Order: sequence, then structure tokens, then C-alpha cells
Amino acid sequence: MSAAPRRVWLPWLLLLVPTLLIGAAALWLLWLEQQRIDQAAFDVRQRAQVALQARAQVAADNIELLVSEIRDGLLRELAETPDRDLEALLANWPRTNPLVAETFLWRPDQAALAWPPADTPERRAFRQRHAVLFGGGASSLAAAVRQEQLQTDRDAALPRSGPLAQASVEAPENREVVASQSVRLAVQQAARSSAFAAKNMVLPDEAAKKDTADEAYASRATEDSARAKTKFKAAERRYGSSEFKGRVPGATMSSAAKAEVESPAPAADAETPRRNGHPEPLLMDAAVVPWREPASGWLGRSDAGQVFFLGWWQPAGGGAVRGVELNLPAVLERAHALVPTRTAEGARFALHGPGEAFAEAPVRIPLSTTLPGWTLVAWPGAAARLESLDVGGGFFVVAALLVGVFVVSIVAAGVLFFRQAAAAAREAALKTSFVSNVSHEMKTPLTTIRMYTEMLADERVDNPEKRSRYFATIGRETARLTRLVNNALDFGRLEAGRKEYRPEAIALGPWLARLVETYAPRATELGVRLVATPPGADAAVRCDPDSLDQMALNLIDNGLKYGAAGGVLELRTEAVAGGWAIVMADRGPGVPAAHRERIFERFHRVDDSLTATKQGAGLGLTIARRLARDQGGDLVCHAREGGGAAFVLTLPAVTT
Amino acid sequence: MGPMKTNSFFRAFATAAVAAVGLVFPATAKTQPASAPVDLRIEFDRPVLPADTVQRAIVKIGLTGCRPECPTDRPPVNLVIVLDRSGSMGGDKIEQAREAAIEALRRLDRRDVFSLVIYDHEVSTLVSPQAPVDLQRLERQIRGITSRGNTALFAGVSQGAAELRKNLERSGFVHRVLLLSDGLANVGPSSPDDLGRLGTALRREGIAVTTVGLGDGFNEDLMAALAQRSDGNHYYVAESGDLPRIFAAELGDVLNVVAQQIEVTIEFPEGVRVIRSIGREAECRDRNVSFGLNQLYGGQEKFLLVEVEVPAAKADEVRTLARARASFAGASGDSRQELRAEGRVRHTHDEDLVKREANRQVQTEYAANSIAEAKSQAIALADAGRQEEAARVMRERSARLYGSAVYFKNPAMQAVAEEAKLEAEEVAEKGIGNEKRKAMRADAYKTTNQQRQ
Repeated sequence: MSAAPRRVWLPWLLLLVPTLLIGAAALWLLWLEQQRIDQAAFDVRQRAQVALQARAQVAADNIELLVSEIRDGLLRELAETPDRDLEALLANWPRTNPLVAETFLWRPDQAALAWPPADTPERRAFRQRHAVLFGGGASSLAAAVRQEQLQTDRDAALPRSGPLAQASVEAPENREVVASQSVRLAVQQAARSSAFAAKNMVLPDEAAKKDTADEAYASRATEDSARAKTKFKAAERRYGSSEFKGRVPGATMSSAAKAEVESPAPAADAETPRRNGHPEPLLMDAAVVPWREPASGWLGRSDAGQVFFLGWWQPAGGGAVRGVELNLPAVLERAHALVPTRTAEGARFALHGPGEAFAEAPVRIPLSTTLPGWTLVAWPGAAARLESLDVGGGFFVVAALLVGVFVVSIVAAGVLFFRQAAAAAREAALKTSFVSNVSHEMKTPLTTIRMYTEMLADERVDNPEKRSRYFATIGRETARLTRLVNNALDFGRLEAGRKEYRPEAIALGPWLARLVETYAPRATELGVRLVATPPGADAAVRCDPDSLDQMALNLIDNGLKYGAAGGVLELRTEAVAGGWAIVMADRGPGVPAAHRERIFERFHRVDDSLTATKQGAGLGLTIARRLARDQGGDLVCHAREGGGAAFVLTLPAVTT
Repeated sequence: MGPMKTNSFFRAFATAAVAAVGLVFPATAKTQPASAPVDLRIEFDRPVLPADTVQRAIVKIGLTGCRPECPTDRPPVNLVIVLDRSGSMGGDKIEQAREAAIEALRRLDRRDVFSLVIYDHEVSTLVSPQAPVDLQRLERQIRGITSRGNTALFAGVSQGAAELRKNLERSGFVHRVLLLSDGLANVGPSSPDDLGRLGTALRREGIAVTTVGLGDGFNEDLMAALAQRSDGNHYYVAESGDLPRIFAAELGDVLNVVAQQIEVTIEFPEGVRVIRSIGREAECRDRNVSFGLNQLYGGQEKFLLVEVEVPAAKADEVRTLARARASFAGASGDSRQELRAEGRVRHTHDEDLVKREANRQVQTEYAANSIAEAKSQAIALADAGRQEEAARVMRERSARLYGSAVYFKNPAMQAVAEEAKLEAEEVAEKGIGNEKRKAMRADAYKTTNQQRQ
């Protein structure tokens, strides 16, 4: 019994194991591929980010360069205009230069504005919004100028080489390096100062709550760093680069350091009192020239939610401060022209002002040097789309699903194939058993017939009684053979679906009486009592009479064959819904529960071995049930109380 | 310059004839070249003033562009259309905007330069500056515009200005930004003041920005400020179907420029006190008033009204009350020309004569500008939640003007006052809603800037 399963399982394993192995390997490879894709996407994103950052930085630098050039140009113009032309410049500039909103001339000694007069609404508004700047006091323009002067004074007092040596231990020939470091530091410092400034600007209300003078800040250092960036334009510059380099280390000093330097000066102490712990306006060192040289700077202010930038210049040795207010929107408009447009990869750039939402821009470059509060923002293009394509390892999921479908279909096909093979094998075994059974069945009566025929032919039997008995035996065995052949033929017909029925009404009473009469001799011979309970006169079924006879024959045959030990075979009829049941019950050993249904399968026998004590081909019950079901009835087997088996044949009643 | 000649000839003849009869004193004396494309005039609400009392007078300094003789004799136009393509422009609006842009494009010829900038949260130049030669391709490009995103108005205008600037140095061009928006600027600088300051800067470069506000979502203060400070036009378009017409009207103006970069200064003699300018923005400094115009269109009058205090004078005294000087570049932006004009008044004891001689048109124009001022005030008051006060300002102004109109028997002025009265009642009843506010702002703008459409 173990050879057959082994034969089945071997190819099954041969199919299953490689399939699962290949599936697992494919998944593993796909997972590796997914990792590679992720890494590639990450690299692309990283590269795109770096490129974007670089591009944004270039744009930001250009904008800062533009703005600082504008600022420098304006201050230069202010500085270079001789006194006699000054009034014309101040009067005409706002009308001729689109970038100039207003000009002013401020006399520190009188703490008064000499220009503009309060003769137009614009000028009155200008005087009003910057009143705090021109009034005097610690944080006003006066303070900015004074601080600037003090700074230049201090720088002038220090020997040129002094600060350089202090700020750097490097050799003097490394000045360029020192300068570039200084520029970076100055930019960082400027960023800090502008952060403060930007805070003031984006929160004008808050700033207004403070002493408004605190809003002002000086951006000299920022200016200086911007100049450092543009120092290749030395020819255009008013001041020599040697002076600049000499001055740069000052710019690297921290505010605290500067405060220390400044604090010993009594004038500074007395005139720049600190307020409410607020930081001093960050007055960056950036004086490009030593004391008694002209001083200049830029101030950023916010007023009523708007930002203003004012540039100022004071001639050598003090005197009236000339100034200009930038038309900031016009400057921004020009700056916008330097914002890159959408690139081929879809990267976007925008210039955002103070307080504007950044919409999660991955690249933000504050224009802290010249436009504190404004930020150049950028969003990546194609790289971002790649990212969205690969969200959650999409490739792996899809590929794994495909592999999964492949493996499952192969396994399912294998299962089907092996089930089919097993069914075919079972069928073949049944047929073999059938053939051997039928042969065996036929062999027994044939042997008997042959033996008696030979004995009779040899005329060895003299006794006429004996002879007639022998003839009867031959006749019986022939009938048995006929039944066997009939069953085999019927089975073939039923299998092919060629069995034809000629149904007619059959009254069960007479039919049962005839049945008992026909089988009583054979039963008596086997020592079995046939007990029939006659049904009522109305008991009638609609059935093909030949098939009914055959069903009864098969059942009684079975009952006599297997239930003979019980000594009794009961026949009775019962009315059921829609028909009649013919019950044949014996007191034999019964049918084991596991076989109660299977006995109706073709070729099935409870004892299937060739050494079985009872003969049979395993067809009788199969044929009987098929005949019953074909005609709207059924045949089932029950265990009988008190031992034995009961076969219930139901058939439809005669419909009127 | 036929029509102009006839015009000035007629004017000269009329003044001479009237002066000869002795009924009216010639109010305006001009010294200007006969072929000037611009006519400069000074007029008064009352050329004859009561004697012996201090008087308030309205001085009108008017500039009229003469229609060019030959239609092809116009300066080339450097036009950039800046289109809002933000999400709110979806559907019919963007469709009409596309048609309007194509309408504008078709009116140009190959001497002009056309460019088109579209903006949402980002800005891009759809059509870089070029002569409109391959119209089919350009129209295809314009028809491809779809709506999306936010409103980066400032960046859009900046980009437009940058595109114009590429041809700013070419002489003789009229530089114009035509901005269409239906939404609130929500990216970049977006206060009316910021945009106003930008407008000022652009005007100094000779760039005018015409703003077209579409629907009920745009910020009319911002759009009006930008147009006003850059001396462009401002339109309020409630229905997108009107867009092609508005664009065509705007192009009509732009293609009809007769003078550019006009600077006008008015000088008043000693004793005269300048009180204020009315309507159009001007710079008043002591006894000098100056204003500028970017462009002057053919057949169109632009003027400034100045209120002055005139010292008492004896009867029959004739004196010069204002001297004006206008300098401008011709249509093609070539050499600058200058015009001068003087305005004189006579004083009399005859009250009827004062009434009879009153300049009804100047009075009406004064009334309209005064109403426009009142409307702006009313808008500000209504914004502050003082609806009653807004209505009262308009009502009082209209009542005062109505009184004057009746006194001077000026039906046109009376009509202006009556209309204002009705509007005041409407404001009192319903307040100033979004649509009303936009309409009022646009009306006031049209009156003070003498815009035709």
C-alpha cells in the first residue's frame, strides 16, 4: 500500500520544492532590486537637491549682488555729489530714479531734518514714519552714526597689523584666506543680526510695543560682506582693497567682544543706555574707512507692516547726513527677474517675503545680507516625481504579487494534476477488481454447470432423481450467470446513459405477492424465511416493471447473500411524501457505517479481496440506486435496530 | 495734423471774436508750435470772478491729444500681457481671458513687440518678447493656457516688467503691461501700498500698468493703486464675456498714443494760495503744482483740477492766474517738445456776469471728481464699518454740488449731483458690498484719471 503514495509524492515534491525555492529566490532578488532602486532614487534626489541648492544659491547670490550694487551705487552717488549739487539731487532723485522712494538730509548737531520739507503728503508720511529715526536718542540715526564713528575711531586707533595678528595666527601671506574666513564669519554674524531684524520686521506690532527706536538696526557688516563678495569690482569701489583687508578682522569679532572694546569709552557708555534688557541694535562693524573719513551705512525699519531700507552717508569729520530711502517693491521687482524660472526638470523657485508661508520648500536661502526677511525658496522637480513613484517600495510589491501569483498557479495546477492522477489510478484499480470479480463470479457457475453436464453426458448418474436435481442445479447456475451478465450489461448501458424506461403504474400488493412466490423456494433453500407484509390496495408506484424487478432481485439477492445468517428477510411497504417506500430488512451482520454510502459506488465491496467469502461484482446496489434515481426515486441503506441492514427503495406514487 | 489745426484755429478765432465783442475775456493764451500733437489749456470754473473779495477758484489744466492724421502713424507698442492663470480662473474666465489676449494680439502689427507672461504660484513667460509675425503659432500657445495654483501677482508683474525691459532702450516704443487678475495676490508682496510703490517706480521707467480686475475676488485697492501710480488704466469686469471688449479698448488707447513722458508744471503768481489738487495725483509745493502722465492718447483729454485761493482784486482788473508748462516726447519718443499756456481771469461787481460766464464743463468735471473723492472716502469709511457716515459723506457732497449746480444753472452738474445722491441712498440702504465696492473704486478711478472705458 505504500508504493503508490510514494509514486505520487515523488513528482509532487519534485514540482513543489523547486517552485517554492525559485519563488523565494525571486522574492529575495526583487527585494535587492528594490533596495537598489531606493538607493538610486535617493542618490538622484540627493543630486537634484544639491543641484537645486547650488542653483538657488547662485540665484540668491545674484540677487544679493544686485541689491548690494544698487545700495552701493546709491551711496556712491550720495557721496560723490558735491554740496552745491546736493539740493538738486535730493529734489530730483525720487522723481527720476525708480529705485529711490525718498531722499533726506539730516543734521545731527540740530537733530533735525533739513530735507525733505513737509510740503507733500508723501514727504509728510516719510517724515512721520521715520520721526523716531531723526529725533535723536540712543537708537536713532544719531546713535547709528555715532556708533559707526566710534567703531571707526577704535579701528583707526589699532595698528593696522594688530587686529590681523590677533585674529589669525596664520602667516601674513595668508591674508586672502583670512579675508575669506572673515567674510564667512561676517556673513554668519550678519545672518544673526538680520534674524533679529527680520523678527522685528515680521512682527511690526510687537516691534511697535517696544521702544520703536529698537527696530532700527545697522547692517554695516552685511554691507561689508556683500562688498567682500564683490571685491573683484575693486576698480569701481571707492575704497582700496588694502584698507578693506586691514579692516576685515574687525568684522570677525563677536558682538560681545565689540561691546567689551566699546565699554571703556565713556561716551558710548553714557549715550547708548540699554533698554529693558533688549539687545542693542546690532551695529556691525563695517567701517570701510578709518575715523575722520566718511561714514555710511544702511538701516532697515518696519512701519505699519511695511519694510523700509534707508541708506546714509556722512562726510568726513561729521556734518549733515545724506540719505536715501529705497523703493523696496521696485528693488524686489528687479530681484524677481533674477529668480530662475521653472527648469526643464520642473524645479521651481520663488522669492518669499517676511511672514510668507514656505509651503514646505526643501531649499530655503535667506537673503539676509541685503534683504533680511526675504528668502529664496526652491522645490525640486523630476526628483520629487521619482520619489512619488517609489513611495513604499511599489516596485517590490507589484513584483512580489506577480511572483506570488506564479507560484500559487503552479502549485494549484500540480495539486489538480495529482488529484486527477490519483482518481485515474483508483478507477483503474476498481476496474481491475471488477474484471477479476466478474471472472470469478462467472467461473463458479460455469465450473458447476460443466461438472454436472459432464457427469450427465458420461451417463454416470443412473438415479433419475439425482439427474433431475442435477438439471435443476444447472438451470439455477445458468440463471445466476444470466443475472450476472444482465447486471454487467445494464451497468454498461447505465454508464453510457442509454438505458430506456417504460414507466407504468404498478400495484405493489400483487407485485409483492409475486415476488415472494418467486423467491420463496430459493430463500427456503438457504434457510431464510421471507416475511412479506401485504400493503393496502391503494399502494401503487409509477415505474418501469423490468427495472423494478431488477431492483428487487438485486436487493433480495443481496439480502439472501449477506443476511442469510439472520434467517429472516422482511419485505414491507410504507407511504412516504410523494410516493411509496419498499423496505427490505434482514437480520444479518449489517453494513458498517463507513460503507453505508460507499456500497452504492460502482465496484465497491465491503470485502474487496479475492478471498472474500461472498461472491459478487460490486454492481448490484450501484445499478439499483441508479435505476431508482433515474425514475425519481432513491435507494438508501440504514442500520436496523436490533442488528441487520434495511434497504429503503422509494418510488414516486402514481399521479392521477 | 488737420483736425488739430482746425481745432486750434477755431479756438483762436472764437476767442478773438468774443474778445472783440467784449463780452468775455480771453481766458487762455497759448504759445505752442502749430504742429504739436498735444493741446495744453488752462480753464477756470469761473473766468470772471467777483471783485473785492477773496475767492476760491478751480483751475483746470487740460491736455488733449490730437488724433493722428494717418492711422499707421503711431508709435510701436511694447506690450506684455500678464495673465492670472490661478485655479480660480477656471472655466469660462480663462477661456475669455485667452480670447481677450488673442484679440489684443490681433490688433498689433509687425512693428510691435508682444510678450505674454502667465502666473499662478509660479511665473513663466509663455511668449517671449517678439514681433507678432507668426500669429497662428502665438494663438496656439495662448489657447494652451489652463488654470491652476495660487496668485503670485507681484512676481507676475515683475516678470512682465522684466520682459518689457528687454526692449526698453529701443526708442519710440509705448511700453505697457496689461495685467489680468481675478484673485487676491497671496504670494509675494501684496499690499496696495507695495504695489503702488512698484507702480511709481515703473512709471519712472516709462512703463504703464493697466490692471483688469475680473469677477468679485480681486483686490480692487491693489489693482487701482498699481494702475494709478504707473498711470495705466484700471477696469472692473464683472462678466468674463466683457474681457475681449476691454482688451480691445485698452489696445485702442495704447495704439493711439500721441505723446509720452509728459511732465506738466503749473506756477501760480504770488498771492495765490494753492489749496489742493482734486482727483488726479499731483505734487503741490508752495505755488507750484506738477504732475506727470506716461502717455497721452489721441482724441482724449487728461486734466488736473487745482483748487486755489485768489486774493481780492478790483473790478475790471485782469490778471494772469496760472502759467503752465508741459514738456513731452512725441509719440515715437523722439526729441522733447515744450508747450506753454497762461490762464487769466477778470474781476467784476456784476454777479450775473459771473454766473453767465461760468465754465459749465469745468464745473461738471469738478463735480465728478469731487464725487469720486467722496466715493473713495465712503469706501474707507464703510471699510471701517461706518456705513452711515459713508452715506452721509456722499449725501453732503452731492447736496453741496447740487446747490452750486442750481445756482449756476448747470444741468450736467446737476445730473452728476443727483446721481451721486441716488448712490448715497443706495449706500445708506445696502452698504457697500463687494461688487459695489469694486464698481465704485473703478468709477472713481475712471473719473480721476479720465479713462474712457
